[in-house]
Amino acid sequence: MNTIRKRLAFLAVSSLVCLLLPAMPFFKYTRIYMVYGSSFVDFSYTVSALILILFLFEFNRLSFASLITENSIIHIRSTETVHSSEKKSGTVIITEATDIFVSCFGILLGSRIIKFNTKGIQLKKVEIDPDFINICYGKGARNDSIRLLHSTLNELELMDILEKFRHETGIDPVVME
Amino acid sequence: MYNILGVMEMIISRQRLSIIVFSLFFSWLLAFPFEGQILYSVTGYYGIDSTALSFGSIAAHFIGLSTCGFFIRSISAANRLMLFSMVVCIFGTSAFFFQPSMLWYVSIYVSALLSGACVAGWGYYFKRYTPSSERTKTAASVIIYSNVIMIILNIVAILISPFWGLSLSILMLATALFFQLRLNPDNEPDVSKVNLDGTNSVSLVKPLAFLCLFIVVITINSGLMYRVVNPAFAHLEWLVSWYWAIPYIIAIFIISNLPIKINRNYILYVAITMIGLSFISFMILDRSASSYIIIDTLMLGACGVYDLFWWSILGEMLNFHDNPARIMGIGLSANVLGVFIGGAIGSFIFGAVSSNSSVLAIIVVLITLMILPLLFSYLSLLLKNHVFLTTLNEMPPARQDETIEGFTRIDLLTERESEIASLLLKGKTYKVIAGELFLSENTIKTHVKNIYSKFNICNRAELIRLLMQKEDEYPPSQPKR
Repeated sequence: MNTIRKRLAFLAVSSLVCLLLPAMPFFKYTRIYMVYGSSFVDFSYTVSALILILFLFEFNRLSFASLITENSIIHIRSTETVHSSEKKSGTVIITEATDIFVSCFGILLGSRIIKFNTKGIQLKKVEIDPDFINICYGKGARNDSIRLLHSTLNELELMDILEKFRHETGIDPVVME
Repeated sequence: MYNILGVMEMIISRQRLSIIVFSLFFSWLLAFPFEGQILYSVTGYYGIDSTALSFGSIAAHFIGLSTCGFFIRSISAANRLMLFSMVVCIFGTSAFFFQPSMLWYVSIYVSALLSGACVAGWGYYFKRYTPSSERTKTAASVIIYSNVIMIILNIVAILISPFWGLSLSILMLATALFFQLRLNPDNEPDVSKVNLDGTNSVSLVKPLAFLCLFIVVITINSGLMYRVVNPAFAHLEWLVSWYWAIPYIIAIFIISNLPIKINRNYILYVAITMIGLSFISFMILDRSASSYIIIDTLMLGACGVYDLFWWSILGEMLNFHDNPARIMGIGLSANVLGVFIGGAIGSFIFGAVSSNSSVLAIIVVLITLMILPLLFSYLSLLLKNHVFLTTLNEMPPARQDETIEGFTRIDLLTERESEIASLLLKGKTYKVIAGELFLSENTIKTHVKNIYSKFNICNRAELIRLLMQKEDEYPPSQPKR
């Protein structure tokens, strides 16, 4: 979700820059203005409007991501990985941790969102085995599925997850041995 | 059963008759006494100022609309009033064939007063002969037909002769009178048992007051347009005479035929944007024919959306009061008041303040557009609560709970959705539901959207109606499927 937030911030700043740049006092003295004149101003406003549209799309995604995290049934925490290279001594590479949230409205994998139980996309089947959770969803006859690796679940945690799925989605997950 | 079918068939044909009568009558009203082109053409022919006639006519129409409901208390009385009014209006309009005199003023004021009462009285027919689910379409049909006829009358008045226009408008009135005679409700059997809508008389003061305020704020822009925009394009007389109502008609046609799933609330906000853009365009563009087409399309398209929107709310409100003439009259008088206020503001801006009149007009428009969303959201809340009150308040509390639980515990909904639907049907707001279930408001809204989608409905009022229908199909003594 942090990726979505960062993307949103970037789009907001870009849009503001494109919008405000032509209004800056120094802008009239720049080479761009001298060469292109008011055409650049129109171009800048158009770009700003387009970025604003992208911002709105991204904002919707952030809202939906928030919805998923607020109604989380399963939260799979992944760990940060730190990799150091001998060849380039002292170089440390850190890959960002990607948390996975499964809720009654969809799945949030980092910045990727999979929606179900909304806009006609149904959650069709949930299977839980000792290592993976298989989630099958789709619209109409179409079926998509996703398989998530999860940490070991004790009995209480498993019962809690089963009850939440049943209560929130109406689906009874199948527990595989 | 056979009798009910026969009566239903009669109601359907009376629905059409009622549409025809009102469309013809309304076309005369729009073309002549209510700031009509024929009135302006006739006064222009004699070179007299139409301001006193026009404003006086609007004021008289307002009085007729707002007071009718206090005197007319049955459909029979409404029928007699409409017949009498149409005859008087025919004679009143005929006075304009003669030279200008005091007779003109008396005729038009009396005609406008009685026409206002007539329009309000039509509320009885609107309620009796049109089922709730068809009222928006009926209102749309009436508005479309009356505006099309009005355009024809206007074209005749401008291109041929004002007196030809006047003659045709009298013909419309006479035809309306003819069909009204066939609509005589004294000859029909008692259809009160066939009427599927309740006739509860529940206090509607607050929702009606807010609806009126909403209508006034919306129609201020229409009145402003008549006084500021139309005079600026007076040189395009031929184009203005027929094109100005076309976007209005098209907008109403489109909105009335939209699929039920589309959220009409968003369309309202689109219309608000169109009004703003139209006034901005009026400021920037020149006064050519293409500019007029752009400005008029935006403005009248938005007006069409607004008008059908509040007509549909007014139509729904008729279910909740025994005197539909009062509801129609008060609601429509708010429309007239809005046009009057907008016209007055426009006259002041255009007449007294010569410079920057367009800027001032835009300021007025922007203020109204800022107020509209707030009014609309509060009005929606009031109406939703009112629907809940009128449909469930007569049940004993235990039966209410049983009914709601029985309705929500069906296979279609998940347990969570059933919980939320129960609380929704008990009239609780999203915020309260979120508090009770320890969820966020956003989560509740998403669940509610899913619930509505499963039932193929758009709002809480329709959910309550479904609940009531199910209650009628399966009363507590009978087992549910």
